[in-house]
Amino acid sequence: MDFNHNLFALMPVLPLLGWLVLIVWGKNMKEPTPGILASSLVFLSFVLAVVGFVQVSPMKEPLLNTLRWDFLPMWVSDAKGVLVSKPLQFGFALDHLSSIMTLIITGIGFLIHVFAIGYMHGDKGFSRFFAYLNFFIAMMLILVLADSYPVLFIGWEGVGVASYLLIGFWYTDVKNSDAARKAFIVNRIGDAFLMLGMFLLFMTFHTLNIHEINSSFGSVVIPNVTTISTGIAFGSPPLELAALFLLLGAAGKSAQLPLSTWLPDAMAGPTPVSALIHAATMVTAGVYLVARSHGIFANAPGASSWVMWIGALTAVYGALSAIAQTDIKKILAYSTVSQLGYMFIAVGSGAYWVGIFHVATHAFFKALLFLSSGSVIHAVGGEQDVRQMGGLREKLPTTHIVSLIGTLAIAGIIPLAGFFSKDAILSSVFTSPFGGDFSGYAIWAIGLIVAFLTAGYMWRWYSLVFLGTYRGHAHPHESSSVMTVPLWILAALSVVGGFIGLPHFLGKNVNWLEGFLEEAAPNALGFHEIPLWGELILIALALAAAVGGILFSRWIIARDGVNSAGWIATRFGNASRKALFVDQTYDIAVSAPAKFISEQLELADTHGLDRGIGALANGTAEAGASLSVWQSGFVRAYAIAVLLGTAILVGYLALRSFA
Amino acid sequence: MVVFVILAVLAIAGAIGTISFKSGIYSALSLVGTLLTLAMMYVTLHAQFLASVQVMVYAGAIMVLFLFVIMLLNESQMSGADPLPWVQPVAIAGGIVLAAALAFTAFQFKAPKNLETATAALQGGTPGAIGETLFTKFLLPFEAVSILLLIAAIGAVSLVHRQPAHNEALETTSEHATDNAYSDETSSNPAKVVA
Amino acid sequence: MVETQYYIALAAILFSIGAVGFLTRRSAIQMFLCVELMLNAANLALVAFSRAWGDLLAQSAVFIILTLAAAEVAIGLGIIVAIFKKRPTTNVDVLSSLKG
Repeated sequence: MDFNHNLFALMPVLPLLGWLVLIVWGKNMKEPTPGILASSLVFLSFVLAVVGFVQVSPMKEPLLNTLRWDFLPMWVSDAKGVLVSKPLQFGFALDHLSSIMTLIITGIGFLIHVFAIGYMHGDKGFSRFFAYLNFFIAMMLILVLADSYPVLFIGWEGVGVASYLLIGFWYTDVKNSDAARKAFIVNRIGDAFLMLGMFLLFMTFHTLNIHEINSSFGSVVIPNVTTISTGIAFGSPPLELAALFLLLGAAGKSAQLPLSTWLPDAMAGPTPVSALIHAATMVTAGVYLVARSHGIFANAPGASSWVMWIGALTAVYGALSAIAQTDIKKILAYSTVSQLGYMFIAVGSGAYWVGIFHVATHAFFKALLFLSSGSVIHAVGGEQDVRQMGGLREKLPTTHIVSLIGTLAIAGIIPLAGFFSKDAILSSVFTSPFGGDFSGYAIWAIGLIVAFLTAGYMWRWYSLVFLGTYRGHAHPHESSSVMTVPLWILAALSVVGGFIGLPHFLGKNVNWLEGFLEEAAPNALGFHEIPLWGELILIALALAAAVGGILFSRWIIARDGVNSAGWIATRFGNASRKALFVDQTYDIAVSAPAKFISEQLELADTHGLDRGIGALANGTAEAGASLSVWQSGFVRAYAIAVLLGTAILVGYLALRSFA
Repeated sequence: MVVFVILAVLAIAGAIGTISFKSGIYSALSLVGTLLTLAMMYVTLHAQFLASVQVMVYAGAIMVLFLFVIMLLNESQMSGADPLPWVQPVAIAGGIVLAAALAFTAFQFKAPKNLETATAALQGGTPGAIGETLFTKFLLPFEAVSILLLIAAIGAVSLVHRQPAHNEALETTSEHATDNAYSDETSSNPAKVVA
Repeated sequence: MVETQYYIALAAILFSIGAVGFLTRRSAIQMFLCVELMLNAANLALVAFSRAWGDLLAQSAVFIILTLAAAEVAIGLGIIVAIFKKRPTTNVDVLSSLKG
């Protein structure tokens, strides 16, 4: 029925409505009203997402809304080379992949909305905050529901705007607005590449409809594959190039190297924002983009191995940077960078469901961790330095328990959510068809090291905040139930979230997620088979890395106490605390030359252009002034000009007839 | 031809008088002379109706209006040095060039028809003949010009119309009063106190 | 019959005299008189051409021009009177506040 087909398209409309209402009338509302309005609209969207999920589950084709309109005029040359109009339609599509994403976005988004009602209590910009949050949800839903790249791009830019607005939410502090600008600008770089990718895709496929592009590959043929000496296969050049452009676009949004520097600074925003946008949803848009474009990436082995490598380097970069941070949110921010790297490894390996799996589990436990740290910050009166915390186990019992669950989940302890997704990533990269002779194993090893580091820094985070004795001066108190209930729900999800993607050897159809995404994001072809014992060894190694990381961290903290980071600092020369000097590198490599060029240009401007223009203006003015003698104001002076002109003209005519 | 020469001399003499008398009244009267001469010339050109209109409207009404204004303003002779002394010789030279060029061009004119037959077609330029043209081919301009005359009459009235003063007594008693004619009458105007 | 050319030449001379007068007189009213003179010169030319072509159209046009002249004089003199009320002079050289 028509109505059923269009129901899911209401999902982004509802929060957009909330945004409109709040931005127009929000100022007149008393405090909890905007929060309740915004939360309930997102909850309605969540209900719609559930309905859509139920609708789409038995289907093979994506659900398309029937209300659509021509939105971009486009011309395509047909077989005879004649240009025919083929306008792009603005439309939404709900398939299994986007259905999972809508559930995550609206579900987690709803919980964070509720949490924020408590967290933002008393803030001047209460209604503005919820207006932005609703706007973000709407744009994110447009992003995942888009059935073509330009529509996706609308959402892509929209979430960028929302992110900018929310990072700089407390814009009176220049540090915050700087961070917002940084995020925006770095994102623009990625967006430019995404646009290039779109152009290239349009040239190659004559369409920008995602589903048409994906289905145009059929299911078998990898066109035009050549193998070069490293053993890595390459697809057709335009495809590889388009995939690389998309990868750079995704890297911007998902804070992958080299565009990763904005995410840690983005923690300047309110903590619910960090949880929602910069951990759970928006930053996974890059992963979603790669999974969404699975047809392209599955047929672009070269670009896919790049995805893996970028993911691996980012993962290790984020993990190393997280070790020595002292800001409770910065640790989680670098951890997010690292985990996003994990997701890129997964989608790069060709196992797209694994990437989405980690997106989901990561959304659960990272949102949980961020909200917990928000609860902690709230409790200790705005303090963010972990060295000023400690011993909060007794004072914040609820927060403590859920944080412990989150820590163990992200560390990858069986049977919490992170264990299954991390294991799935490691085994998929080990068997990846894009790994070549060497890359797959190397990335697998990096992943293992990162798992070890993750467990280590997360345990450090947990013990510095909750264990030991309190080192600060505030009077911590547990948060209200409007904040703790979302924490409990997220904690529960972090525990059971992993069961949607159990490993294969436990039974034939136990991996529900892979089966669910079989149509929407099928695996690339050519995964290696490894025997059961091999898989068991992989799992054991991952688990060992996690446990080893925790134990190692315990040992260091027992030895060095609060200043455990000092141990790192003395050995790596502040590299970790300064996030491996990536920001500094940008300063030297990009900012300094840009600044130099700008200064030179400014000199040229003031001394060259300005003077030239000034001289021109003065010259014109002087010429005008000298001509203004004629405008004497005397009527007779004007009249004689008329007379003389007439005399000359008539005289000329007379002379001409005479000649 | 003799008549023409006499009339032409008279017309030119009147024109020169118009531009050379210092007094505005003499100037205007000289122009009346020229206009009357031209009216006579219109008769020789078989434009009887125009000749009478010229006498009545131009030499009569319009020039009387001029004279009225000249006398109303009663302006003394132009005083002070001419700020544009160079205009006069240049103007005379330019005028001579223009007259010569125009006259020279005039003698290039080739009569398109035999003058006698053409003259006959004019029917003497009687009011009946003119009226036929005016109310057929020239109907629209005729009506338009009547509206224009109406507008001009209203415009002239509004231009010279004396602004209605709120307080005529004040106006006559105090110079400030005209400036303050529109100001709040209850304000503490010293002029009012004096009044 | 006097040929058309002589009338035209006379019109040219009258027109030029009017133009010269317009430039040499400094009183706005006298300048206005000169404009009337120029207008009459043009009328004379039209009437002369009317006879040359044997067509009454030009005479009708002269009639219209006469009416226009009446309107123009009414407005022009009105303007002069209005200016005179602001600044008691008709000397156009004094009225030069539009100077560039």
